[in-house]
Amino acid sequence: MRVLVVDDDITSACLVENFLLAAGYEVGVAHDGVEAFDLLCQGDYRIVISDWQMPRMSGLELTRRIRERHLGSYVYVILLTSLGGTQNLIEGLNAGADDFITKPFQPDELQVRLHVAERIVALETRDLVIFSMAKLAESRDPETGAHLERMRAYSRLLAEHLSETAKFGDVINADYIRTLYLTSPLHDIGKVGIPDQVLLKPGRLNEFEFHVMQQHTVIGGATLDAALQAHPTAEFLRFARDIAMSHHERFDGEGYPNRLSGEQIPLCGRIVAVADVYDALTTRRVYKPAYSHDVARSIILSGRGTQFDPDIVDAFLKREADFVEIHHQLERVSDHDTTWVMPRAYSVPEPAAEIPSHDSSTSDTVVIA
Amino acid sequence: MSPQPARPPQVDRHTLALDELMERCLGNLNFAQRVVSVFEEHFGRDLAALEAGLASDDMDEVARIAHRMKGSSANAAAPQLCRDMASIEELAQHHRSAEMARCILKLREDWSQFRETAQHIRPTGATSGN
Repeated sequence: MRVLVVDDDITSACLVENFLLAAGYEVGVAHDGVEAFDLLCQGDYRIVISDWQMPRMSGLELTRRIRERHLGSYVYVILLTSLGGTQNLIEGLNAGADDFITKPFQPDELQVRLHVAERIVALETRDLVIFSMAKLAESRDPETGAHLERMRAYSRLLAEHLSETAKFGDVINADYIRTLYLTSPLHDIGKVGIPDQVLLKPGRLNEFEFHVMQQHTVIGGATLDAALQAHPTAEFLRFARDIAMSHHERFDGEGYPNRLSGEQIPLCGRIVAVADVYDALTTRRVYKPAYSHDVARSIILSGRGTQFDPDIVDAFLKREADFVEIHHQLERVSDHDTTWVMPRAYSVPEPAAEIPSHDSSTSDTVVIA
Repeated sequence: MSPQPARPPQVDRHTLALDELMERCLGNLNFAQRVVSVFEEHFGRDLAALEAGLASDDMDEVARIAHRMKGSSANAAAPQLCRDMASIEELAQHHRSAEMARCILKLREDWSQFRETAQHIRPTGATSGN
């Protein structure tokens, strides 16, 4: 990460620069606000450590300029100054500074504050990455943006309920729920790698085409795994990878791509599987009407322990009123957007169940590719 | 036999808090020596500018320079100089030039003391830039 040190005092700049280099940062140095702002416009600095009083442009004015101008990404500003007092602190923070350190700087303190800065900057990066990827997936996915919104809301609902149970209470915490909510829209990111003639085919997919369609799980999983390898500490990428790879696995081991079964399937994938199918069932597609909640409920219930994790189906049943509420809240968006031509999963046999579903590949299976 | 790492010399910590500076320099004595050298060079230059500001009775300029010297001496772990600069900055901000002479005299004494102390940590053969 690149850090810009701004100080007209050469001794202080030299000390802070040395500290940052030793901590593994890339460092730039400017000696007044004007020089700093020029460097910020040219380079990808994410953190600025600036003195307050400087010739030509003060640290306060520099901070205001940074906040006024969109520099591409958020710049975290730490004011490092020998000015003390609450009034100065308020003035600095009001100008848009994120943090405030008094001279002389203490290495331990600066280190901790830099970690905070990195965390904030990484949060923005994470959200941007997820948003960009979700939009990319959406651009190739004939399903709607509202599908992603509903699906993540259903996923969160299920996770919230599971977190209150004895079995999952230790696994699912607030951070888990937040990450699931953020990353579940990436479940079909792999569809960007599916050829148009398969993805956008309005008719029924043949066996070969369905095999191609199934590859979206592998493509999505591999793409996110590559990103994870490059950033192994980015937990959200691990989540997103697991969801993309496993949301079509079945609890009985008959799903794809790896025919995982039971708890071999990552929990996040098992949760998203229920959310994804419920939404596919309750919204209109070109090849099927929107099924009522009761119909969707009975289909999901029929997959309890075969297609779906029984605990998650139970959570669904406990929170079904909330599912209906979310569906109604986002229905208008759905109605407006479902003019896309939908792809259809290859269905091996016709559904034997009474419930008409072109998405069904077996009598007790709901396949949403 | 491997060479022993250089140990910082004992100096008056009111003049130069070497342990504090060493911490800020991540234990690197060579770098601490370089910082002291940079500090001496720039503090000497700022002192001349400060005296020029006093001579022309430009108290705003004196306050601005004193503020920078205060920050510089704080980070260079020169507590006495830091206190001197804080006093001078405050006097200049309130345009109390009549009380300045005593403070400047004290500053010169402390600056002289600092440079003498800095000799003890200067690498062998090196001379002050001032």
